Amino acid sequence: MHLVEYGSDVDRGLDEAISRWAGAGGKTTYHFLDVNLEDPADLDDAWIRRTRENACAIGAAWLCGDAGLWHFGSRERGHQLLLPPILTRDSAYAIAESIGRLQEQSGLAVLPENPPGSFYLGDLHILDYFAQVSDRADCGLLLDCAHLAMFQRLRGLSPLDGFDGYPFDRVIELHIAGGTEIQIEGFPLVEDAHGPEPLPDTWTIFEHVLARAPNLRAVIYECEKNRPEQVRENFQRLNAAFPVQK
Amino acid sequence: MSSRLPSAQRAVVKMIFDPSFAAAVRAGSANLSDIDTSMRAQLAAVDPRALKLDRYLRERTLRTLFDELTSSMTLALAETGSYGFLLQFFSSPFFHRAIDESSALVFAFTDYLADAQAHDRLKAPLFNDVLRLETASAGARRAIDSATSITRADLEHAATLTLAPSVTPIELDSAALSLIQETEQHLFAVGMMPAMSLCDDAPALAFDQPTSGERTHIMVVSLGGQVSLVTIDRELQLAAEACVQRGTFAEVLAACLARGLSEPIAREKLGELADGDLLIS
Repeated sequence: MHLVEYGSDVDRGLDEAISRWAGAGGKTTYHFLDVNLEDPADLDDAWIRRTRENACAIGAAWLCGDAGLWHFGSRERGHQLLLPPILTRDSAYAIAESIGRLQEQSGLAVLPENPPGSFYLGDLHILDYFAQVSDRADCGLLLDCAHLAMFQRLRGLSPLDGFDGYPFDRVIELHIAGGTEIQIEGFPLVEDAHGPEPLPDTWTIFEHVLARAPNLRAVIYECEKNRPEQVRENFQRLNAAFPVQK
Repeated sequence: MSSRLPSAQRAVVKMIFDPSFAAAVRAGSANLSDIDTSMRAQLAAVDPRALKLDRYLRERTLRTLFDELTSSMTLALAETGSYGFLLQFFSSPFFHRAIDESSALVFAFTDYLADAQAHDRLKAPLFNDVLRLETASAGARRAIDSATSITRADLEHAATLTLAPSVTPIELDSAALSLIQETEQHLFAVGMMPAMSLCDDAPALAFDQPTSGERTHIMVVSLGGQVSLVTIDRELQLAAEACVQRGTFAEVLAACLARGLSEPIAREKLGELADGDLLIS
C-alpha cells in the first residue's frame, strides 16, 4: 500500500489513523463526501476553506470525490445519500463550473469521480459526460471502474462501450472495488458494497483503461470493510499491474 | 447564490423518499412543470424497485432528525403510537418544499410537527413548548455570528444593535423541562434493551402531562455549534425579546418599555446582554 485516500466531510474532519499515516510521511489524497458539485451554489466559501484545511493537514496530493448528489436540502450531518448526476450537457457544465471554482480557491487539483447508481437519467453516456466535464473545467479525472461497470450493466451495454472519444490522458486516478450482485423484488442490481472481490466487468474496465492512461498516478482499491487476508491477493495483483512509480 | 440543482435531481430525491410521489410521476400526475417532456418520460420510466436500493435511507434520515428533536419525536411517537406518523413526513409538503428550496430538513420537520399539533393530531399539553425549545436549539446550532459583539460601554453609541443569531430567548411552562428530562430517562431505560419496546408491558412514557402554570425563562445559546440552555429571569427575557428586531439603542429601549420594563431595569438588562456578548452591531 503506497497511498491512502481519506474520505470525509467537513463535519467529521480528520481521524487519528489518517493523521498518524500522514504524520509518518505517508502519501494521501482527500475524497470529499459532502458537496453537490452539480449545484455550484453548494460550494460555499466556508466549505471550501475547511475542505482545503483538511486536505492540506494530511498533505493530500489532490481533492477528489463523486460528482453526484451527496446531500439533499441544505448540507447536514448524516445524509450519506449518493446519486449520480443527471447526464446532460447543462449538468456537465455546472459540475465543470464547480470544479473550476474549487480548484481556483483551494489551490488543489480536483478530480471528479463517476458515481454509482441504481438508475441513471439523461441522454449522455457517462463517459461522454465526464469527457465534457474535464474539457470544460480543464481538470483531471478519477474513473471508478466498479461504478462504470454498474452504469454499463444498467444501460444494457458491454463493459467497454462508450470509450470512443474518452480522454484517457486526463485519467489521473482509478478506483477498483468489489460489488455485490443483489435482487430487489426480482430487479437485478449491483450494490457498491466495497467487498473484497471486484466483479469481472470491473477488472475488464480496469485493465482496458490502465493500458491507455499515460498520466495515471494512483490506483485506489476501495476495500476498507474487509480483513487483510481477504484483499492481499488483489493488492498484489494491482501492484503488479501498476508498479509504484519512483 | 441560490441553488441550481437540476429540477430532475430534486424529483429523484422525492421519488426515493416518497413512494406516493414516485407513483404519481409514473402515472403522469405529479407536478413536474419545470422539467421537460423528455426528462419527465425518463423519470416515469425508472423502475420503482431501483428506488429501493438504499433500504434504510428514510430511517437514517429520521435518525439524524431525532438527534436534534429527540423529545419532540419521542412524544409524537408516544401519542400517535405510529411510526407511520414519522414516515408520512416524507410525503408532506414540508419535506417536498425543503427539497425544492434546498433548505434544512430539521425545520421542515419541526413545521410538520407544528402542523400536526395545529390540526389536533398531537394534543399533549406540553408538546408545543418542547417543540419550540428544540426548534430554537436547532436554530441556534446553525446560526453564524459574523458581526462584532457590542460592549456595555458602547451600547448607546452603536448605530444599531440586535440579538446575536445564535441566541434565542424562550418562555416555557416549567413542566416542559421536567417532561424533557423524563423523556431522556425513558429513552435511556429503553435503550438498554430496545427489544423491550415490543412488549405490552414495556415502560410507558407519560406524554400527556398537564401544564403547571408556572413559567420558566430560557436563553438558548450556541457557541461553536454546542448549544446551552441558560435559565434567566423574566426581565432579561423581555429585554432579549426587545432586541430581536434590529434597531437603534433608543428603539430597543422603547421596545423594552413597551414590554413593561421600567427604564432603569431595561438599561441594566441590556447591559447584562452586552456583558454576555449576546448583542451585535
